[in-house]
Amino acid sequence: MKPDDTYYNDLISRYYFGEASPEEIRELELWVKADPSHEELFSGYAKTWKALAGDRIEAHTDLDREWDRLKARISTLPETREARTSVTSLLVFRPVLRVAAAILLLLIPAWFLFRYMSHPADKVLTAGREMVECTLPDGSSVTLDAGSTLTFPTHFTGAFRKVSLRGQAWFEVVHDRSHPFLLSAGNTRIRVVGTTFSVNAIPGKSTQEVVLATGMVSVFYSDDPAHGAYMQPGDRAGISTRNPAIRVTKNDDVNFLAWKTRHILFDATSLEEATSLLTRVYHVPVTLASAELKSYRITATFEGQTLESVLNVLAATLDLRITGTAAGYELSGMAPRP
Amino acid sequence: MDHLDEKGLEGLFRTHYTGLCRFAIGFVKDEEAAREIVQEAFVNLWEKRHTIDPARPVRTYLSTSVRNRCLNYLRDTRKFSAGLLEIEDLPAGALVHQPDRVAEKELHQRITSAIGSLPDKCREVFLLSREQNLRYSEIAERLQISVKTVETQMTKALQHLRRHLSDYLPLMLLPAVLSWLPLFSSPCCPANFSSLPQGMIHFMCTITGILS
Repeated sequence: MKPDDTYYNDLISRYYFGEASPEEIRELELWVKADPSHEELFSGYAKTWKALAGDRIEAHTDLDREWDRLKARISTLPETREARTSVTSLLVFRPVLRVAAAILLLLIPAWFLFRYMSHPADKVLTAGREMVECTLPDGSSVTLDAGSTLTFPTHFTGAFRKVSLRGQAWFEVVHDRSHPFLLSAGNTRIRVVGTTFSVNAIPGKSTQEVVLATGMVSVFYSDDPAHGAYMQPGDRAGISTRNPAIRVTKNDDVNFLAWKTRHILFDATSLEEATSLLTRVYHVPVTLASAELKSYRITATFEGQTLESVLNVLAATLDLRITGTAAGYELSGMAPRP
Repeated sequence: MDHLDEKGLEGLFRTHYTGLCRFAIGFVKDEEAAREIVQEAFVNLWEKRHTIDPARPVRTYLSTSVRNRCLNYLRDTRKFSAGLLEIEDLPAGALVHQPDRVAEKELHQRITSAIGSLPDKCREVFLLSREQNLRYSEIAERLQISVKTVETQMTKALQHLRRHLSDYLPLMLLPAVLSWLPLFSSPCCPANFSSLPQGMIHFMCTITGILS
């Protein structure tokens, strides 16, 4: 927890001095629960703060003044009978109330219309067959995988930078503590201060996946503060569409960003896994002609190559034949020599 | 049975006000909010003076009322965190007796001297928060510095005070509590208490049910 030391010490002191926002309190709770050493640090501060606050109250309480304040308050309290007369006096103004209600009825839809018209339009960006890189209004950059959609405002207003995603993307978020970045993707909610991470939230899949490269993020299931997790660099969080418990593990998939980088590493990888990865990375179906090919193993590294050149390497190494199909490619074993 | 009159209210107020404020600030982390909550609890006690059972200890009523108001305040400001409050290990009720005066005075001296040993800039910022109850942004404006600098100094002050008070604190924090009250268990506080034993919840419901 070395790089985050200052950040979390600041967060703890913000909490005790009453400066922490609701979102920061949630984040602190996740962090405190993430590790016994965090809890120990937090409860050490609790003792100090309690002593300071108690001492401050003892030293600054002017009982005479506080009692006068209370006396003034209770002297103005209406008796129960008086409360009832004030209700009847309201009824005297009934015609006036009716007019007021009519005006309100006219004004409310007008106000909503005004709000709707003046609201900054959302931009919807969809990557077609190729991935797309874009820059958000705050300078953060996003790489959107083919077929994925990102929705964001033309300019960020309010306390948060809110964006939403369908599909897969890589985010490099510009650091801005006073305007946290909130990403919503399916059931996944991610709260970020400034960081790099990838999200895979393809509609229809039963799990969404977040992999954190640098910085720190809090991940939540829907808008449920009780189901959140704190991620450290190198972590992978799996968010199921139905089960609110979030699983955080070390990310052991070296190819998690291959769709963006086209850097692919096969290390005794089965041909079944390899073809499924290639299908996901290049968005072109690569199939196997027979089940026995699934268990073939391949070790190779590719750096930004086209699908065709990757397939040529696989074919040459494993002695396979490549056939073009309607949508993509099929690999088959060489026919036995006559 | 005699119900509460103004003289009686004043007696209760003078005995319990400070202890209840200490109790409240533990939850809400804001001195003004804590004082306001305790005032409201006394106003409420006065309004209900004809219906409250005089045989029941009023301090239990006050303590419960303050605690529920604090939890409602945290819920309404979206600052309720059961997990953090649990670790903070707040007392279950407000103090009955004035705690040991000598120890109290000694702690006060320790705190004063620990604050005195803060670096100048740090002490200036910290005292504006402590003595004048200013927010970070107000301190920044007053001293013409950035909010970030205020935050850094406040964190530094808290770390410094923690180091200087740490050997002394465990002795100080053995308060006599006036009543046993479970922390999160009454109908008017935020939801999500499933982990509590049922017995406690029933106990609290009975108390608040009678009084409200």
